[in-house]
Amino acid sequence: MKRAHSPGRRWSAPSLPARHYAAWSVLVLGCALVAGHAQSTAPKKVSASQASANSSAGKQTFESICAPCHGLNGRGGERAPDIAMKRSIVRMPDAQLLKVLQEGKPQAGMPAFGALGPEKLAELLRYLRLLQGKRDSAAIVTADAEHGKALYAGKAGCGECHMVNGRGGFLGPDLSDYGANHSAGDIRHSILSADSRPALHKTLARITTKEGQQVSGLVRNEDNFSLQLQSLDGAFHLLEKNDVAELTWDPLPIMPGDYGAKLSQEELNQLVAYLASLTEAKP
Amino acid sequence: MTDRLTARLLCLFVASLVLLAPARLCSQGLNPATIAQPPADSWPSYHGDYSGRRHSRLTQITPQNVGSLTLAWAFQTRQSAELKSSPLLVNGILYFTVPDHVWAVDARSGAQIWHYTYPPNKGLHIGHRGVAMYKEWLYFLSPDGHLVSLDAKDGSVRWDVVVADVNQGYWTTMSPLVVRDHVIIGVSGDFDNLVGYLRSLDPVTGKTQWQWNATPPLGTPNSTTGGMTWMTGTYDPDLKLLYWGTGNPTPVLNGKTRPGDNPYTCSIVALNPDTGKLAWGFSASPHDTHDWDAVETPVLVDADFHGEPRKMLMQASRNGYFFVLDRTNGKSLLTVPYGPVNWSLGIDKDGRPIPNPDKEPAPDGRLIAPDEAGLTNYRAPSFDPRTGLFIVSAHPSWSIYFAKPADGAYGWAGADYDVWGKGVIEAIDYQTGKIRWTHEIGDDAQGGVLTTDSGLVFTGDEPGNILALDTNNGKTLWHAGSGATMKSSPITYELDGRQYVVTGSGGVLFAWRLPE
Repeated sequence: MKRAHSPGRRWSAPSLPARHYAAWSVLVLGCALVAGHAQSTAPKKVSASQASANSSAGKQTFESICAPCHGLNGRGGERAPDIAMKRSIVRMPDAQLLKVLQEGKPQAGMPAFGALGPEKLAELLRYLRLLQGKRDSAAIVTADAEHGKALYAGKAGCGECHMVNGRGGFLGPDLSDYGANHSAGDIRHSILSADSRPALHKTLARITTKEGQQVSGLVRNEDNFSLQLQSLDGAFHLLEKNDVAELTWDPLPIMPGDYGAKLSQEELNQLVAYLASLTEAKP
Repeated sequence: MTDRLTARLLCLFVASLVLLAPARLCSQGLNPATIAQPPADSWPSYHGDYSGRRHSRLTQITPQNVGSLTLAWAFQTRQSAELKSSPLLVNGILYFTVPDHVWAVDARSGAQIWHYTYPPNKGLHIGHRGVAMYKEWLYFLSPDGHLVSLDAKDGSVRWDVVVADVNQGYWTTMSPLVVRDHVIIGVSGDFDNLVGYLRSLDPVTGKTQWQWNATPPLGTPNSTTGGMTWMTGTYDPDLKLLYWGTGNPTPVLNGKTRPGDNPYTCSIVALNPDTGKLAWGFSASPHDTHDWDAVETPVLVDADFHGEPRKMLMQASRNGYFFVLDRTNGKSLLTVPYGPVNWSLGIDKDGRPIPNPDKEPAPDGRLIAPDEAGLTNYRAPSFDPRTGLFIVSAHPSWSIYFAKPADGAYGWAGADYDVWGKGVIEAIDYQTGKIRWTHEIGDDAQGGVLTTDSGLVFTGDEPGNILALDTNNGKTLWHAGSGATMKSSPITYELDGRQYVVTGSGGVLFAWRLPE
């Protein structure tokens, strides 16, 4: 099915729920809600040279035995899955990951690499952790994460859409362990460039059914026959495409693209420091 | 032990029923002569018959009534491996596989008759295409290169012979082809520089009858290795020729140590099934450096080509080209791309694509269409004789290929990264190569295609829907969500006057039929 892009038939008044307007006004007006947290967390530092020394031997082993199936960057291929980005693998504790390296996954076709010995396996694991983005994020983020936390909940409005440990909105991805899988550079880039790579499923879809009902929200899943949409009030709308008269997409993603202008450099660093500190989901 | 006992008791029970209800016969074997002309109540070989067309004469399910198609039964393998096999159907029993496992299941009810498990082993468990049958015996290739002959009645092992050395880097996944008194097997393995081969074994004793090597012996200077034979070929009983596709050369992404066309890698070959002697070979990808096996089904069609009656062979190849050959001599009739292809300089006088040296993997990367998985792959295409359409599940795609000196000249010898791709069912007019219709199926293409004489195409889409399309125009007539992408190829048969369509996705086999 082709997506309809007929500007002439777009609605004049988008039916955004009131709650959404409220969220937007927080962002647009930039309410100065920076709470006065006096305590700042002590900056964590990891020696960059130490990290690279550990990893160079692991890199060699990885590229000779893992890369043929998992790819040079560990992001997978036809023969083996992504082990650099896949959350279930990134989240695995070291001991569990080591066990997989030692024993392999015979049913999935992965050989055992126990014969490499504990030292080589440890190097391999360190390198894999590097590929997973667990590198120097703490080392380059020395800004005040507590202020970042306040920005997150207040002025930046991140919490309107993103959840951390059970608190926050539902539209965006859960960020409870975002720092575990992303470097500070990646985090900064994601905040500043939300609108530079619009993805369809991150933009607001507006639907008119053949019965004239209008609904807008995020498309959570879609195939040739059906569409599962979540409107901004959280309700799910499970639609058959046969019942849809028109489907249009907003040109820009829901996540604001103007953080570079809204936040000062110092505030941005604080926000990045806070997000980088989120390394473990707390149930 | 208990399972085995249960299986034997069950077969005894079924055997006792035979006396009461002769119509419900337990497995009583397969005469190899029927593989060439399978009756409607059978699917006795991987492709259903020797032609590889995967076209059924059955017409009970039609474009008019397919909308009411419903589930007859579902069978859970309870394994983590996905179904990538085509079942056989012989005497009312389906036989199908995942790596290390074979099942016999009642085709009317989906009830398990027996389940055979191969011992744990270190072969690559990448997928499995199914078993072959000769009289009362099944033939199963294990991940570690054994050919195991099972008793079709209870799944017990009759013999087990090694056909490929797992320690050298071979593995086996394919469904053997039975031609008269030959069981023909192929091998896999391109993480090492190895010789690909086809081997024929005696169905009774398991003794080797002949072996045909795709590439010269290891260590031949300036020569290639590879040419794995990992998909099931086809056979023309009149011409007495076996047709087989061969895989890529090795080292895979580095072609420098293997100058020239690298015969017979990425080729379609015709062999004498009694001797293994080569009748002719056609190079689909001379000097391949992108892992584009030409193992896709060599589909045999007898029809007019530009007004002349021809015995043809058609292949939609992984490298992006659709080939029509005269299968009596291997001469090209048509070579045309069926999707984005940017790696060739055109077609030579013999109908072979000319590889562009500038598109070989390089240290700074090369943007290549299609990607490494190819414009199609092991999933089966289908030829519909009514419309003259060759229908293939295609994957228009781009990727970046790297090879640098440090990658060496052994095994993979480089790296490739997918950039973008999508899935499209394409209906190709075999006379011209023009695409008559397309049907988008999502971000990827994985499922095979079956056509029937009533004008239906059965296949699957990427989100996991099983689809029935109108062969004339590709429009959807029926769909059912199966919960996983179909990575196998559908089959159909008729039992007790009712037509079944069997599809497999995830670890579940589904049987569909019209309501009573």
